[in-house]
This record gives sequence, C-alpha cells and structure tokens, in this order.
Amino acid sequence: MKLNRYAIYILVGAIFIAIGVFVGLTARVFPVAASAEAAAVDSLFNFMLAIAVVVFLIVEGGIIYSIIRFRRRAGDETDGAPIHGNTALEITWTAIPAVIVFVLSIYSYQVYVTIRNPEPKDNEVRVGVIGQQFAWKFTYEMPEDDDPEVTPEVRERIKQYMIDSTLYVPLNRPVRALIESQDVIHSFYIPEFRIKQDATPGRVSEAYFTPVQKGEWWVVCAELCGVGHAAMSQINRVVVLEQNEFDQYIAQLYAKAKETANDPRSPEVGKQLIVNKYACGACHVLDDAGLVGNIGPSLNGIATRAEGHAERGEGLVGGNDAAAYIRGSIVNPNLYLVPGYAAGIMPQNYGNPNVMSEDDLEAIVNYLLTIR
Amino acid sequence: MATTVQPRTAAVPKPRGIAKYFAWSIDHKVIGIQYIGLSFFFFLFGGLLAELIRIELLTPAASLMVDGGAYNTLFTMHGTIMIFLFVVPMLAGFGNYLVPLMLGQKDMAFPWLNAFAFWMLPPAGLIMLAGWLVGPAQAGWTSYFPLSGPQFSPFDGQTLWAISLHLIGASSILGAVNFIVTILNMRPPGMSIWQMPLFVWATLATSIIILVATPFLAGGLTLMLLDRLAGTSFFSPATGGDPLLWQNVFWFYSHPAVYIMVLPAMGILSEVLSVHARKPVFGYRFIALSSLAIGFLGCIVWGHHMFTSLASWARIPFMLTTMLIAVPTGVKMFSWIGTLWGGKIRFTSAMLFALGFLSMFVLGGITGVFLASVPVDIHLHDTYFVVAHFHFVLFGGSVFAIFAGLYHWFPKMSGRMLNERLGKIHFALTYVGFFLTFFPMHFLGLEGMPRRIYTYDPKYEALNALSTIGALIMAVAVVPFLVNVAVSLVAGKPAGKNPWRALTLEWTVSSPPPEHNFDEPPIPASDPYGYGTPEGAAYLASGGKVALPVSAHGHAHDQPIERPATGD
Amino acid sequence: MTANFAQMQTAFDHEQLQREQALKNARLGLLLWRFANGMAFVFFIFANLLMRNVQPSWPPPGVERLPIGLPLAITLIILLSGAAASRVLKAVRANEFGRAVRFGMATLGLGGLFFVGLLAAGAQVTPSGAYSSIVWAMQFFHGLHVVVASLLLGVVLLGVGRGRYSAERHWGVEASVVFWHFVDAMWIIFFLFIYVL
Repeated sequence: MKLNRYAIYILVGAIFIAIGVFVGLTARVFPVAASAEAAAVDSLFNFMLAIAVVVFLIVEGGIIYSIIRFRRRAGDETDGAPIHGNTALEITWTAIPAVIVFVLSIYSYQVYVTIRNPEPKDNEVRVGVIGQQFAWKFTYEMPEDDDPEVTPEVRERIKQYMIDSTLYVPLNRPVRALIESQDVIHSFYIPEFRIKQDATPGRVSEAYFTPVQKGEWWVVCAELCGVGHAAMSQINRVVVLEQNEFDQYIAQLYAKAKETANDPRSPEVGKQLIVNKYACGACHVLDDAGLVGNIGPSLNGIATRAEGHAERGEGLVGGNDAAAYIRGSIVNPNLYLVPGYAAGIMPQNYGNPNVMSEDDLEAIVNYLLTIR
Repeated sequence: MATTVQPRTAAVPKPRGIAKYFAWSIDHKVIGIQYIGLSFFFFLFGGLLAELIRIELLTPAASLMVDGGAYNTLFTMHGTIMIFLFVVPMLAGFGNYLVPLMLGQKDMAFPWLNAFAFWMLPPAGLIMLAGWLVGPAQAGWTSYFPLSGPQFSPFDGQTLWAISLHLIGASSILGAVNFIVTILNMRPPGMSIWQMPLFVWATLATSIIILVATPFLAGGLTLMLLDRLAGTSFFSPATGGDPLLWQNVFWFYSHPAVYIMVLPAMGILSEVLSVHARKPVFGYRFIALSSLAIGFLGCIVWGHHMFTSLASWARIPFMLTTMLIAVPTGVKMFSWIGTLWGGKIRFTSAMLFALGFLSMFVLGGITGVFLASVPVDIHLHDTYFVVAHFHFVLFGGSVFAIFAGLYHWFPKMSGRMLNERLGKIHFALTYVGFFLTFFPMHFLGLEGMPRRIYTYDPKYEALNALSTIGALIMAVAVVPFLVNVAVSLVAGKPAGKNPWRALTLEWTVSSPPPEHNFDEPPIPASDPYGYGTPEGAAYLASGGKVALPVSAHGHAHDQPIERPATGD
Repeated sequence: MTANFAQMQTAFDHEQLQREQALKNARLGLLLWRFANGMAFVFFIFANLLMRNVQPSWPPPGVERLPIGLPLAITLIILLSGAAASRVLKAVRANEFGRAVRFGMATLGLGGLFFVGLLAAGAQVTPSGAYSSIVWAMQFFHGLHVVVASLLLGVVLLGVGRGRYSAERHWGVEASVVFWHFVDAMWIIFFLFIYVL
C-alpha cells in the first residue's frame, strides 16, 4: 500500500519532468535569433522553462488533486486531519527551490559573461546610437582618407555628417554600440538580437552583439520617453549586410558627408538632415521628404504659412521674415504653438548648438523655405 | 505627543448608520471599512482606466486616443491609483478591521492616530484626480527623470502626483507604527507570538517593510518636488545630477512596495484556506518566518528593475538576491497546498478566490524567476512579459486574495451573508477574464512588444485582441459582486457569530461586533488553526469560552481552563 | 495557570494597568517613529553617496570645499543643547519644575542659535548644480526637524509651567526630549557627510 503510493508519486514526477524536458526542448517563443548572443539567451530561457513547467505542474497538479480528492462530500460536517506540519517535508521544499535558484544563478551568470564582454575585440565595429524624442539615429566611424585636402579640421566637420536613421551592421562581426541620449531616457532594444540597454542622458552606455543572420528588423525604444514613445518603435530599422556591402555603404555615406561638409547650408543638405540626422519624420508629415509622422503639425506648405506668420509677427527668431518663423519654430518651439498642439512635445533643445549646429539649422531652414 | 496616548471619548453625538462611515471616527472597525470603501471606489475607477487602455489596444492603430499623451496619462493614473489608492489602502483596511479583533483588543494602540492616517487618504486621492484639471501626470507610475522633470513634463499634474504620494506615504508610515505597537504590545494573555493568526504575522512583516522603505519614497518625492519647483538639480545631467539617482531611490521603495501589497494578501490566504479546508495551516512557523524573510530580501533587490541601466557589475548581486526570494515564496505555496491536502474543502466563494490565488500566483512567481536572470531580463525588460508578470502577482495574487477576504469577512463586518451563487458567478467571470487578459501578454513580451505603447506592430494584433476580450469579461465580472453586496446588505441571511466555524478571536463576538468589541476579555484558542483537533472542537462548541492550554504544535496539557464566572 | 488568568481578568479594566500599557505603547511608537524618521535621514545620505558616485571628485571639479568653522561651531551648540535637554528630563523626574523650565529655555535658546547658524551655513553655499542642491536639501531637511522639535519642546515647557506633569507622569517631557536627542544625533551624521567626508 505504502510502496504503491510512492510508486505513483515517482511515476507522476517522471511524467511531469518528461513534459518539462519536452517543452524546454521544443518551445520556440522568441522571435528569430539573429545574433550570436541570442542563441545563448534562448538556451538559458528554455532551460529555465523546462524547470518552470515541472514546478508549475507540481503546484497546479497538487491544487487540482486536492480539490478533487479532498472536497467535502455532501453531509460530511467533520474537519480534516489535524496535521500541523512535517518538518522534514518543509525543509525539503525549502532546500530544493534553493538549489534550483542557485543553479539558475550560476548558469545565468555564465551566459551573462559571454554575452556581455566589454573587452575590446580586434575586429569589432563601433557604432554610435543616439536616442532623441522620438527617433533613433546612428553614427559611424569614418574610413581612412588620403585626400590631402582633408585636414583634421575638415575631418572633424565631415564627422558630424556620418549619421543615418538606419543602423547598418556587418554580418558575423562583433558590434559595440555606444549609446547616448539627447533628452530623456530611451532604451535601445532589438528583440531579434536579445539586447537592450538604456540610453541615459549624461552618460555613454554600451551594448554588444554579433549579427549572424542577414535581415532587417525594428530598432525599438523600450523605455517610456513621452508622447511619441509608441511611434519610436516603428521608425528605425537595423539592417544586417555582408561585409562588402557594409564597406560600400560606409564609403557612400562618407562621400556624401564629405560633399555636405563643403556646402553645409544648402537645401539639399537640409533635406538629408531632416530625414537622417534629426529624424523629423518621427513626428511630422512632409511629402517632399517622405515623412509620415502624426504627432506634430504637418510641414507641407510650411514656407507659405511661414510668410503669413512673419506678417503677423508670430514666433520669430533672428529676423522678421519667413525664415525667422521657421527658425523660431525649431529653436524655441513654445514661442508660437500651432492650434491643436501642446507645448513641450517638440524637442526643446535644438537651440543648443551642441545638439543642432548653426550650419544644420540654416540648412534645414533653407530647405523648408522651398516647401511651398 | 501626550494626547495620542490618552483614550479619548467623543463629546459630540456620534453619527449613526451609514453616515458614520463618512465622519471622523476613532473606532478601528469604522476606519477599516472606510479604508475598504474608499479603496474599492478607486478599484472601480482604476479598472475603468484599464478598460480604456485595453480598448485602445484592440487594434494596432490609434483608435480611442487623440495622442500618446492621453494614453500615457491613462496608464500612469491606472498604475498609480491601483497601487497607492487601491491595493495598499485596501489591505490596510483589512488590517485595521481585523488586527485588534484577532488580538482580542478594544482598538488599535493609537486610535486617534489611526483615524488621522486614514483621513490623509481622501485629500490625497482628490489631489491625484485634480491632475486632470491642470494637465495630468504622464510619465508613468515610475516617473523616471528627466521625463518627469520640469522640462519634459511641464504639467502641474506631475507636481500634484508627487504631493499626493507624499500624503499616502506619510499615512502608510503612521499606520505601520500603529500596527507594530498593537501587535507587539497588545496580545491577549494566552497568545504568544507563535499563536498569532498568520494575517497578524503578515501585517507585522508588512509594517516593518513600510518603516524601512517608505521614507525613501518620501525622500525621493521631496527631491522631485525640489527639482520641479525650486530649480535644484538632483536628477538633471546637464547640471551634474543623475537620472539613475531617481531610479535607485524609487525602486528602493517600490520593490518592497510589491511585498507591502502581497504579504497581507498572503496572510488573508492562510486564514481563508485553513478555515474553508477545515484543516490546520501546514507549517505555521515556516509561513510566519517566510513573511519576515520575504520582507528582508525584498529590501535588497531593487536593482533588478534596473538591469538595463545599472552598471554591468552591479547587476549580478541583485540577480542573486532576487532569485533567493523564490525560496520563501515557494515555502508559502507548498505550505498552502499542504494545508489543502487531507482537508474537507468547502467550495465557498471565499475559498474559490483563495484557490484562484494559489493557481494564478504561482505563474507570477515563476515568471519572476525568469525576470531575475539578467540575460533573460535584458530581452524581457520593459516588454509585455513584465506587464503579465506583475499582473499575475498583483491581480492573480493580491486582488484574488482581497476578494477572498471580502467574501470571508463580509459576514463579520455586516452581520449578513453574501449570496453564494452570485459569488460563484463573480469568481468564474473574474478567473476566466483575468487569465484571458494577462496570459497572452507573456507571449507578446517574449516576441518583443514593448510596454506603454498605444500603437503597435500589426503582428501583435491577435493576442492583443484576446487580451482585450478578457478585460471586458473582467469588467462584466464586477457587476454580480456589486449587486451581491447591495442586496446582501439589506436582505442577506443573518450571519450569526461564527458562520464559518472559525477559531480566530474575531469570530467569538457578534456580527457586526459591538463598538467595544469584547464584553469580557477573550480567551484565544490555544491553536488558532486547530481544526480537526479535540481542543479546536471544544473551543468551537463552547463558543470561545474554553481554551485548552496547548503549545502551538498541538500537545495538549491535562486540564482545560474555564473562564472564571463573571456573573452572567 | 487558572489563578493567573483570573488576575488578568480582574486587572482588565484597571486604570493603572491601562496607563502602563499606554505608556509602553507610546514608548514603542516613538521608537518606531524615530526609526522611520531615521530612514529618511539615511535616504539623504544614500542620495549624497550616489551623487558623489557620478562625479570625478567631491566636491565636483570647479566647486570649492565648504569652510568648516561655522558648521563646527553650530555642531558644538547643538551638542550643548542636547545636554541641556537631558537636564530638563532629570529635573522633572526630581520634581524641580522651575529648574526644568530654565533648562528647557536654555535648550530652546541654543536650538534657535543653531538654527540661525544653519541658515548662515546655507548662505555660505554658492549655487553649483548637484553639489549645492544636495547640501541645501540636507540642511533644509535637518532644519525642518529642528523647527518641529522646538515647537514640541516649547508646547511641553508651557505644560511644565502650568503644572501638567509630575515626577511620575511626564510622558510629554520624555517624548520631546528624546526627539530632541534624535535630531541632535542626526545632525552629527549629516555634519560628517556634508562637511567632513
């Protein structure tokens, strides 16, 4: 009789463990594992899942069994057995979870060390990640250039245009992302790479990943950053390229940056800046540049409207013409509010030359003056 | 100072009937019901906000909201109200009503202070709601800087939010002092600390956590107000401040706050399970001590909310402490199943909700271990997996326990039984609706859907729709409960002293108890969970007049003690 | 055992027992309050340490260290006030109420002097972002406690003057003196974290 009962316990336990192992081996609950780190995290998760399933089954099984087996039968007014406890059993179910979490801690620590290795690697690619309300932008290291005209000063000027709204990374090379924020806290998150790191203003944070699959995914913002937080998760893409494609991309970006540095205030440069560097499309509509945001007012026909505002003297900065209205709307957006839009939604720090340089501002103003 | 220790007698005529719940009263039973009533109002209000959230999320595009700001306000207020104006005061209400009764006392140690602590809450609630008049807070209930700072949240609602939480925090500290003094100093003769009901143990552990952690909330809010109003720079990086300072101090309070919301719920559970399964609580000491262990560990794990912002090395110790919490929590789960094992389970509404807690809370506990693991959390942090996890803990845990407690003690508080059929409908709808709402969120999070967004990638649509359907079922579920309470208050079956044949002291007096609680000093049962023992049966048979002197583990001495005749 | 219960029974409504119970409760209540209040002081130290952590040095580069003379002086003053406060309790316990009031006035006077000194110490700080913010906040927080402790002691001293207390029953005096000591002790710790460390 007694032997039978233990035999049943062991049998049920074996079934639960078998189910747990099966679930742990077969469950595919994550998006595609596109980085080397993702595989390690997924294995850890599935290992934990197997244990979790067994624990879950034991607990729920115990509850369901008790409900059925120990329900009060009709007419039975007696009490249950006066069992106050069983010290050996209690110590057991204190000790077993302790061992489990100890094992999980060690395993988690090992995975953590492998996926987060801050030691610089020889072949690593460095990219800059900058969060702003409400888009990401990405900066790249400049390739070598033996053009004698490119002095260190010129290089410094070119550097500020090595920026894009899409994150391109090469396949099978470790990437070190240096993450910053211009305003509030954002969180740099690519689900397919299983990486997430907050972009905290005032400090540079790092994230590491090695893409192992070609493809294109969203760069998500995981930390609440204001009215446009939802939009910020569907603005920027990460694209994994072959090494030669990546080199080509960097060469093109550099060539364009070099061109821009020569004529930094032209309308063409302004258009690029609006699209790539300042990500105005996160909030504004502008058909000419393909912007589709819906948080702020439309920029279509802005030049014509700006003339009207200039005549009425609304929101002008550095002059009294249409350009002054556009400039004012960028560097001091609360000066004049388009009806229906609240103060404080547009980034308030474009008046700071460290955030938006004089050249960039004028290029954007020049470009927007062409939007009639 | 001197005034609070003097017993006070009101000189003005006391309001009677329902009016007394809207007036100043120092009777702990009135105050307890005031807490419960006020927080239930906020439960309905916060629930309404949650329904709006779920309706917005039915489709990937914006449907209900004019912009993200309106949506941010919704979840900010939903979170803040549910935590600070519903769960915390609701459980404080149970504590106020039950602790003095369970300890055989006339009142709390400081009745006046008790009333004062309660009356800080209605103004706090009004200040919170007044946010809508001046531009409400929309930086989330976590209110991270710089988003909640003066530059990015120029709405006065954010300031009112901080002031309101300040009041609630102060109220909570005063309440905790009162509970600890009452529990440590005012146990009746014959009740050692190891014979206290487990709800009292849980309240003691909770109050200790409040004393340790809540001052940090007060301090953090003070700095927030200074930054917003006086132009200081604690959190602003431009002037040398640090946004992570806010995260550290906020979570130093807000993680323990989870245990402030869960431990008393666990206390309720121990009472309800034991009474309705007609069996002693299994492993009394382990359950009692695990409350203290959870309380202690709960104060050193706050960093796990910052696994994506904390320095790399600092994440590891927080992972270890967080993992450890699974151990005392597991002890409680297993002990409760041990309590059911071999019982004679009665499927009352109270018991159903308690079983609902057991079966759902375990999921919240297990997903907590996943989130404790740094590499896994890096992927899951701030996704819907976290939303699912804490709703399984706070709804599947605390709210189920609160309903279990309401069904269990409503007869004591009102003198009338609740209708069991309506109660079972309420349970079934809540259970199904809850599971349908929050279970799919695990998968949304695993796939990478971030939280706090009102438009989302269409690939998440199906699971979100399922979740919204669940939320609507939960909204419907409240109706039978409200009808039940309204009808039963007037026409419910009279409850009598002890409808559940329970052994704790609150059941030895009439329902509702007289104002002074006990006509004569009560004799506590030697074992508050001695169901199925001869001593327990004798105690019940005598209506609480006879207690056998036994130790907590049921070794009876020879002679029963009888109350000396007092002339009745 | 039976006899014991009977004794408890007869003592239930006994006034003396109730008063003892109330005093016991009040003492524990005040102890717990000091603990919670102390945690708020710990909070400011915690904030102070975290703010140092993000700076290359403390005070941050370009900010001068605060002069220590005045703070040291007011620290001595508050220590003296604490000694005077102890005498208040002693005098009440010896039924010497006149003496108690005189020492109480001395305590309040020294407290007032400390408060003025604290204001002057606050004025020594020049606005410098994070550093001045935390120093002012700590001074402000402690100053607030000095004000509350003074009000408490003041009200109690009025009571002493009117003969509200006796050598046997003087919980109000005890509470206000104990709280005064608490505020003293907190200043010593704050002094270390603001000016020394």
